[in-house]
Amino acid sequence: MRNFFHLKFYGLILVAAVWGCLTAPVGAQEIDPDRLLVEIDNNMWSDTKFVIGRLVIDNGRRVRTLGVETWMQGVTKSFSHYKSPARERGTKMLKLENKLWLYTPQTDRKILIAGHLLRQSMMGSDLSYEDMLEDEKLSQAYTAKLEKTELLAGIKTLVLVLTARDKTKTYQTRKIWADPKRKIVLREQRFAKSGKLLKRIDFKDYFATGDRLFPRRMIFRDMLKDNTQTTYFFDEIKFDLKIPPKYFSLRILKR
Amino acid sequence: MIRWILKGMLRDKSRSLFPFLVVAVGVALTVGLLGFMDGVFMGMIDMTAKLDTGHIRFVNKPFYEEEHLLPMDRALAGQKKTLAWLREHGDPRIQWSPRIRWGAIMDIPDEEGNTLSQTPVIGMAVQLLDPQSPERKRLQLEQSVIKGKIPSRSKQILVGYQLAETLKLTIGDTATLMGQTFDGGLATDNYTVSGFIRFGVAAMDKKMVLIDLGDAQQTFYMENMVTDWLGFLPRSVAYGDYEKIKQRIEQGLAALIKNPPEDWASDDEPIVLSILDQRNLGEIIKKFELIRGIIVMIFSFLMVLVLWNAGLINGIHRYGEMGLRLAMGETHKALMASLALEAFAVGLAGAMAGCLVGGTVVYFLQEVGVDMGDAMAQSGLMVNDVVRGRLSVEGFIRGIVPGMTASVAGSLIASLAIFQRSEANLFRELETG
Repeated sequence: MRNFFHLKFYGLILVAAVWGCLTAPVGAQEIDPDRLLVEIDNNMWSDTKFVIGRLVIDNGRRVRTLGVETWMQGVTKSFSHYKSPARERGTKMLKLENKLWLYTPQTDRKILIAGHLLRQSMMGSDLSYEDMLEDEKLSQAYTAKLEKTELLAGIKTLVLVLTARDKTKTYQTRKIWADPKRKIVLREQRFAKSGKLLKRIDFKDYFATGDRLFPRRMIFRDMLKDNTQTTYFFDEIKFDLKIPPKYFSLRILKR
Repeated sequence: MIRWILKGMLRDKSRSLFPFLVVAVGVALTVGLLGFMDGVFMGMIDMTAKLDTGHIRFVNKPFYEEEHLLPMDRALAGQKKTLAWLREHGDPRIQWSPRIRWGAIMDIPDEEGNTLSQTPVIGMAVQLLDPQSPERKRLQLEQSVIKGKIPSRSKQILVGYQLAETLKLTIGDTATLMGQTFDGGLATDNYTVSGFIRFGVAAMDKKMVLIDLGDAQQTFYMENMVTDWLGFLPRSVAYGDYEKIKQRIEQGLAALIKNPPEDWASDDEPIVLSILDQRNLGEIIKKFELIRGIIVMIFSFLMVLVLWNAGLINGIHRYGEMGLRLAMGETHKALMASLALEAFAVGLAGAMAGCLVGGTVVYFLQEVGVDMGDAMAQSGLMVNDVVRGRLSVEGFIRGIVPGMTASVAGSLIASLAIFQRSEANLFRELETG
């Protein structure tokens, strides 16, 4: 009889333990959210990067496709050269530290994107110039906190709430749906200081490139607009290549 | 008899001078005040029509619903066909003008072409380059361009003078516009500053620029497209008629939407608006008319009150005369008619004098005006900084009618006291007097 009670007692503990494992966030015990963020950044970022891509902008009425080549060095330098369509061909954008310049062949001028202009739509897309300026490593700009686990497209994800370290950041809070196994982000939401949802980004079709996983396309949605979306297709991507310094000089902003 | 009454009136100041002064002051105040109010109000309507809404506006509904965002992609295509349809179906008195409202960032370069300063601007594209364009006259560009000149070549821009001061612009400077094309792309173009314009509305002087319609269509890739068709009616058409004119255009609109010009987008749905449907002007007009009516009533009431009392005092003073006239066979009615005629004559003279004084003040306000400066800018209304009076026949009528009515009504009410008395009583009062 006594043994029976012992068995029942241990049985209950076992059931409770199994229940606890099932209901607790996946790997929550062993995964440090900030550490996961660093690993995600390590996957996405490299010293240098070159992308040939397309921005497909759907404003709800028309769809436009812009062909663009981008060179990036770290998080502070990037240069984009628009190749198509004819009207946008030759437009260039240069980011150096926290400044952004635009060059258009129509004006043959270097225009500093600052102040009001930063919040404007970039080339009519769902991204703003500010988005481009604040494109940086999440682990450096935000601290992470695990909110919950959630199934997203059949994948168990950790929902991390990121809080900006710098109080002047446009997006004071971000929320990411991270796959802890593959160290990738499947979805991101960006919020204003007031808590209003401003942007949503879906990362689609991850593919292996070297020892990394990179999305084939990213879908940006400006949540303040109706029926619009911008899809960034990464047609070709190279990591850790040597980029000549001229690409990150103001002198490149000319015909 | 007439001579006798005239002599009596002239010799007895309480019968002539006092009521004359009361009517003159009342009419002068009414004419002056209403003239000033009419001036401010009609100035607001004129200004709003010229710079913003027209008297009648034909606009794409999706654009109108989001016009605070200046959604260029909601502009209306088929410029020529639309104009032909408007001319055919609109009131023949309407003069139609195509315009493009746009918003952009204006970037000013330094000598090396680097950004020196930049600011968001609100722009209007109108037919500027054609010297015969009615827009030039409508916007009074000859008088409004205070420095430089009206654009005579393509890619020239007129800048609000306060905006120019803020950006430290000089004539001939380059200004780069950065905005959105019709299909949402990036629009950038260089313009040359040809002049500084004073719109007379502080908000516009600080934010607005004007370019030619053709240039805007080129910069924003809007060939054969405009955001607005503004219809302008002659001054002789009262704003009360705008609704009927609008409805007449609306009658044919359903057929046009069903069978639209081929350049229109599938979800294009133009609407017709009168100026009273926009900027809350309809409500403002109702309030304005109410206030104007109350003012006329108050002044009329005060004049009646004063003249009634004057008439009473005057009547008592003239009891003897009334008794005598009744005793000599004049009827009560004839006596009252004579008093009313007297009051009418004094009222007419007073009203004329009041019109002269009030009219002079309004004329002065009309020609010189009062500079309200930034006080009006804070109101958010499209009112010229220099508010002006408006001299009109209606204004005089609105002063004369209550002035003369008050004079006659005051006299008649006062004369009731005489009407109710018998000849015997009046005679006794004469003897006592």
